Amino acid sequence: MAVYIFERIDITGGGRGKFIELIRTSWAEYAKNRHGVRLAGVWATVGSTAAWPEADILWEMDDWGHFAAAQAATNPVEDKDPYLNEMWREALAWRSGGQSALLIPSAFTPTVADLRAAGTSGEVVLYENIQSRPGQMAAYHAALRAEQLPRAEAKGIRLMGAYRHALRPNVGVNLWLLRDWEQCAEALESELAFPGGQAWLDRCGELLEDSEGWLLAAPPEGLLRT
Amino acid sequence: MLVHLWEVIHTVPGQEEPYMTSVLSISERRDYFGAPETAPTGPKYRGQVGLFRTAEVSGLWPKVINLWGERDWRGFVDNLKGQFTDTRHVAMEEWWNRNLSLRRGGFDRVLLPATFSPDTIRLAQEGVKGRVFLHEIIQVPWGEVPNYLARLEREFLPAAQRHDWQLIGAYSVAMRPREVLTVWGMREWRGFADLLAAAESESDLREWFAYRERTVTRSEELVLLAGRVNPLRLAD
Repeated sequence: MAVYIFERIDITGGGRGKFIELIRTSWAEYAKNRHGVRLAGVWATVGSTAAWPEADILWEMDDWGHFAAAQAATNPVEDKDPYLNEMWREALAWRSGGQSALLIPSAFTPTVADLRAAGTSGEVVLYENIQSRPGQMAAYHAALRAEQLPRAEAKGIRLMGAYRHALRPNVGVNLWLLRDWEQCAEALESELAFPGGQAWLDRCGELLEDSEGWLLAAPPEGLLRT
Repeated sequence: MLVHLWEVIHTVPGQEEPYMTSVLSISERRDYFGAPETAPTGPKYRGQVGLFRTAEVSGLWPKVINLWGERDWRGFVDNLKGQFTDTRHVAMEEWWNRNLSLRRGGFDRVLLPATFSPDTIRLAQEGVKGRVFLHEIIQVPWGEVPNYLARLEREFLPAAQRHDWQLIGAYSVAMRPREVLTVWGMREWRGFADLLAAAESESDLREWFAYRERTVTRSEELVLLAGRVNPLRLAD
């Protein structure tokens, strides 16, 4: 079972574009070649929907053993990995900190390889922070798979992943792929109050304490816009 | 009653190690410039349970956690009094102002150790050290803290030790009756990962995590590395 780390990065000033390019290019390639850690996605938070300026990164590892080996090889970074340390220092110009989440995928979450093989991608991502009622995360994932996933797919929305936090009880993250901005407008217009609509909202009311959603988007490659 | 001062420091990014070394200089100065009878005879860099910095694995970063050694409540209050009366602590003021380039602020708690929480003497005697540490603050319903700590000792501690998790400290929090703070150390990242991998397959872990899911109302975690001046640090 794969293990993931999702990072929300607090960007400094106008550095979001440069930070994302650093991750997309040297950082991701190095992480993969040196440590086998794969970049599943890097995005900017769409500021009109949540915090700004902010960048977001999802890293994928094969399993817990791979996670342990990668962390052991990179911590403390100044002692273990000079090149990674230098990229970290370079990034200081563009980020002030962030928050990471160690995540476990649900059984129906595709891997990066699965998504690539299926040709699944999206210019826009719907991100959801999930807090389940006590002990209800498994039931929530079961309902998501059985009830919401078919409805979403019928609207052309693809699941990138439904994860639970490895360390925080009753906390999860969902990532949904929207093909492009046109589909984003079309798919969400009728469900802006709660993606999934009223029926899903009612169902979630039985299973969740709270849910917060916002949009992520990947800036065009090579274009150093903020 | 013994208490610990706990601090989360919002460091200027990249200044975590310089900050930890600098803040430790305060107690080092006190030890070596005080009266002869106060000269230290015990382990190096005493006065702390440990100073740690965040790894970018889970939780907010960059932060430093200062977990200071146990002291009695009266002595703790005397220290607070010195900050708010006419008695000036000039060296402390100068240190504070000199190091504004290292940190932007912080948030403190006063911790009350659980009966089974090891003190600094025991940690040193048992040679407790680690490469990675898990720090957690959880919130439980009113009145549940004693039960949570009792179950932690009875149910989770044996399972944790089986996976090379060593208890650094388990605390309730003064004036915050719903909070529990715990720190665990692992000699290797593998130990950290193995317990999480076994969370659903080993029955005692499964029951413990199920209890947490039913009970914990809020949780904040930090995955930490020991500072270079931390006696708990296991270096290569």
